[in-house]
Amino acid sequence: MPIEVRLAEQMKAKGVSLTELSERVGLTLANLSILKTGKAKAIRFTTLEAICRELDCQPSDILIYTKDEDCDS
Amino acid sequence: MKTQSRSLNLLKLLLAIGWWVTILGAALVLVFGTLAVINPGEFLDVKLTGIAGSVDSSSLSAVTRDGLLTKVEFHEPVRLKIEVPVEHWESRRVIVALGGIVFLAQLALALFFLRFLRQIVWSVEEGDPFVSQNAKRLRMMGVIMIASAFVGALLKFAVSGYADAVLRPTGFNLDGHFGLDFNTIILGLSVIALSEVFRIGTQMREEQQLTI
Repeated sequence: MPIEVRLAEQMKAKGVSLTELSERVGLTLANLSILKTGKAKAIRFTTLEAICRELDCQPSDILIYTKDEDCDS
Repeated sequence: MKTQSRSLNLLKLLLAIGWWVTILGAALVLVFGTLAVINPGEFLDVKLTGIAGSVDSSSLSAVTRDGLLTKVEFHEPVRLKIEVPVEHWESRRVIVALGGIVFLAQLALALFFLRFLRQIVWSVEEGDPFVSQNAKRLRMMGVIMIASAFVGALLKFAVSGYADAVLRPTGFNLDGHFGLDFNTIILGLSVIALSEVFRIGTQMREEQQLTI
């Protein structure tokens, strides 16, 4: 998928574990894991807002558009 | 909840019986069909189903309650059972082989249909029937229903056509008859339409589940 989730990088940069972030954001560990591994199909604004608040970052730090040549075919 | 599981168990039991009876039927057709083709004279009860048109109904009559004689005739072509003479063993062989092959094809389609239906019921039992595989199964079931209608019509056409070719009827005409079962075709198309609804439903559910 051309939209890449960079949650793992942000968490590592801020030194936050998955369990800790899930508690602070109010998501289950399983759902946050789906988001982190890029398996999610969509993200709610409220979720994005909570993650940005807790990691002190911008949405563009978490979601990045990359041109995927394989997807063009 | 207990009622639900009981009805599900009953459904599973009925489908299991249907499954094994169909397998047994296929085995019996295979064994007796082979025996009949090898030695057609042994099987005394070989009959053709012919479709008779223009039946001579001059000997038939009815009288109204006030005593008036009325004319009677057949409204539609009539299905007839015609016994093939024991001496005509070559015809018997062809009929048994032809009938057996088409009947086995019907049984194979029935087995596929039952297999898909059982898998759907098993997924209900597991508590998660709204999956894309079930949409595919429903679609295949619809296709099987339509295919089955065509195979059945082909059998009727082959047998009635063969009867027309080998017999010289008196008092009626034998016609090759392609009796397509339109009800089954409409039902099959409805199942395919439902499978599409199911497929889109499962897609929506998956997207909903993966929205974080």
